[in-house]
Amino acid sequence: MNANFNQSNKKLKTTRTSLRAPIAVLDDEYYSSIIALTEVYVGKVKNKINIRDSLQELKILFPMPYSLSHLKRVRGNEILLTLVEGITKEDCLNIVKTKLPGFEPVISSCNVPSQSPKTKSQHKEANLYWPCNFHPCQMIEKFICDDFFTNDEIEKHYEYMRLAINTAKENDSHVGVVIINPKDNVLVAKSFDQRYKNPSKHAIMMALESVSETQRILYPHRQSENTSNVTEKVKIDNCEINNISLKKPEDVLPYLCTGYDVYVTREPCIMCAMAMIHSRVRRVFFGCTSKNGAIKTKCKLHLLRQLNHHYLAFENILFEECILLEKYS
Amino acid sequence: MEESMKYCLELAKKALMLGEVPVGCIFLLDNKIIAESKNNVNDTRNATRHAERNCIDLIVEKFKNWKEIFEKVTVIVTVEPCIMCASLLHSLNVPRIVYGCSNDRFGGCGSVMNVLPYYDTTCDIVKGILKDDCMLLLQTFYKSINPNAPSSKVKTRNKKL
Ligand SMILES: [Zn+2]
Ligand SMILES: [Zn+2]
Repeated sequence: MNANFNQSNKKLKTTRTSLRAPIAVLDDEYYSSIIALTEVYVGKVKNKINIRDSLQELKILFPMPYSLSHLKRVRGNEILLTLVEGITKEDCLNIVKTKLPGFEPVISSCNVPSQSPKTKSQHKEANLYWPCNFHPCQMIEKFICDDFFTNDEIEKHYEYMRLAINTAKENDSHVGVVIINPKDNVLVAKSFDQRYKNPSKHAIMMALESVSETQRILYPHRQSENTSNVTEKVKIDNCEINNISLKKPEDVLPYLCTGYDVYVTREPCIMCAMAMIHSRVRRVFFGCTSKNGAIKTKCKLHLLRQLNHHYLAFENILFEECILLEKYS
Repeated sequence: MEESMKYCLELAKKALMLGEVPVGCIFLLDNKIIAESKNNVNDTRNATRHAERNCIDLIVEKFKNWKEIFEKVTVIVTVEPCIMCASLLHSLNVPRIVYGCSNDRFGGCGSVMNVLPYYDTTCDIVKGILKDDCMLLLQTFYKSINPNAPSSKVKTRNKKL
């Protein structure tokens, strides 16, 4: 993991509610405006009308490397041949001259994007080098444009962050947390930092503890196998969503923090960020960043692919007030 | 060290019999056990109730000067501490961690992530002690599949977010 995250500053869009929408913390590759390039040889067809015939032979002589599968083969009368790496210009030209009669007897080298574009804006930029294939993910595009939440949802996020701030203030703490079940807008737990008592009692750890206490009291018997969820796979915006429960939600007992949202005044540390992965939290909203933060500042733990669960993370809700909590406690 | 690990394995076996992920842990101070615990996630309904964290709680309860204690202990645990527990241990400047098998799902000492560089501390980490025995217990558990855990809801298989 790279500790150096150079996110481009995104323009904050003022929404109709006048509250700024929370900003998604996505993988760096979505924000990058620098297009990584690689060098390829490019040939020219003599006659554009016969391009299809030439392409058949080409595919056998120069199969498209897998690493370039995001690139189109043709640009006008220019044809992408192969990567410069691996074959000399002479050898490449020889093949063109002797085996591809539909081609001009010249080749040139050209810089093309080495990776598939991830967003519409990256696609636009990449196309300046060479035409690319691209299938935008609607969800990602909405995240990038801060256009993911409705006004009502944005107001709710602010309301809950306000609750987290108040929880910190009421307890003279510099960090406050609330856990919400967004299905019925129920406050499931709230807590604040108590690490002076016990080094593991960070606000989030306390809130998770509180959720487990509630579940032990409300549902003293564990979920048995015959009530386990029926699973089905659905695809939404290319993202596979597993385990959609086909039973009514009230038939299924709560399991850890599945489906819950966490609102925390500052970016969680590695321990807390991981604790929320263990607990199957759905979304994490944080007010301000923190120097030991593990969702944006030091690393992006919620995007570690090897882990079995991932939550969505959003920042920048009432961050001025959240920063103040840090300073005056 | 093998003796200590055998002791941890017994704790892990107890966890397994109770339907928990079999992980056992002890904290040693001058070669004496000052805390011992096992994973009890299912019983507590708290996914953060790992053996290492339970031991830390015991020590905080038992010793007023826990801060100094943690800076002298050796942690022995059957499975590589997860990212959460490794972070907690490094934040306490624990000087030595000894573990059995690695933790491919959550390991914080290199298997999934190495969290040590994120902390301003040093730690002597020894791995592989009785690793086959430790692993066998885990495999026994995962073969019977945790009945309490529905698999994770959102899998972003082809997409990074
Ligand atoms: Zn924390
Ligand atoms: Zn752990």
